[in-house]
Amino acid sequence: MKLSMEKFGNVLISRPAGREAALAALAYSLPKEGDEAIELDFSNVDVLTPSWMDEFMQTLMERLPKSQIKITEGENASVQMTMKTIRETTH
Amino acid sequence: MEMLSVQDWVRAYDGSKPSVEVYCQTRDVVQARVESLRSSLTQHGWSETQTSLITAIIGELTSNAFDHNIGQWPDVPGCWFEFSNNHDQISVTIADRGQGVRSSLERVRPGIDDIQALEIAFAEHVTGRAPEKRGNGLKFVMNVLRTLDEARFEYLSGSTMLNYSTQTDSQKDIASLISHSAGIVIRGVYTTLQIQKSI
Repeated sequence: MKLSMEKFGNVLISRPAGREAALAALAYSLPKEGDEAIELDFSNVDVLTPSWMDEFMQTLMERLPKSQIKITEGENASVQMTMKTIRETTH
Repeated sequence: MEMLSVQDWVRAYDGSKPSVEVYCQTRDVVQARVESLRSSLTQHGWSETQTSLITAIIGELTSNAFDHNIGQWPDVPGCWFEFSNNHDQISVTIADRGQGVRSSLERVRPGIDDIQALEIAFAEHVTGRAPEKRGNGLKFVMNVLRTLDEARFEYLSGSTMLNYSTQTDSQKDIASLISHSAGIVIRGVYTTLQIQKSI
């Protein structure tokens, strides 16, 4: 299933907001069981930071394996730079 | 009454609350002002790419003031935040009277000095909030700055500063950007940023 990340706002900056978004996604948007692939689509997000993304992913991965999550970055510069920075520091 | 400058505020032994125009006591106040900065960039015709990247790094820098000091403020909670946008250049100042970078990182790297603390903060995947696995924010700031055509960035904490200019430093590594701040001692963190609009 695809989760449009713009539903959490166009400007995704703070850690508390990232955690809150993940908890809401787990409660209301994502399947409670099964191994269906989950696509996080950032196509229409205007601003993203590593703090928001770190918090969102870590909260999500308390319940879902990383292998189940796929990320679509889209064209936004801050989304692309956030993903690049996270890749650099975690590999 | 004479206005307190940000330099005086972050260096003073005793803290006092800044004027309401620049003082953000809570995270929601500074977030609203970062959103205002973003609107200003858009209104002045900055590109979507620059607007997005600048908003993101200012968001990271202001969030850090709260993430690393919540419940730990030595005196004045929150941060100083101000910006000016003269159409082609934006100037931003962010400061807090929190615990500073060395004090925050000493929990995970005991015995470090101010210079080592800034090197770790800007170059390693380490955070004072361990065991949480974080520490990407300042690496992200540097990654963004290195993509901009013209930017100047100063980041001071304790007795140390990181100084970056795209014109002279774009190929330099983090360690060579960090030095002692010539007798200036900052309580918490003091950051200034000037970015020129790309044509």
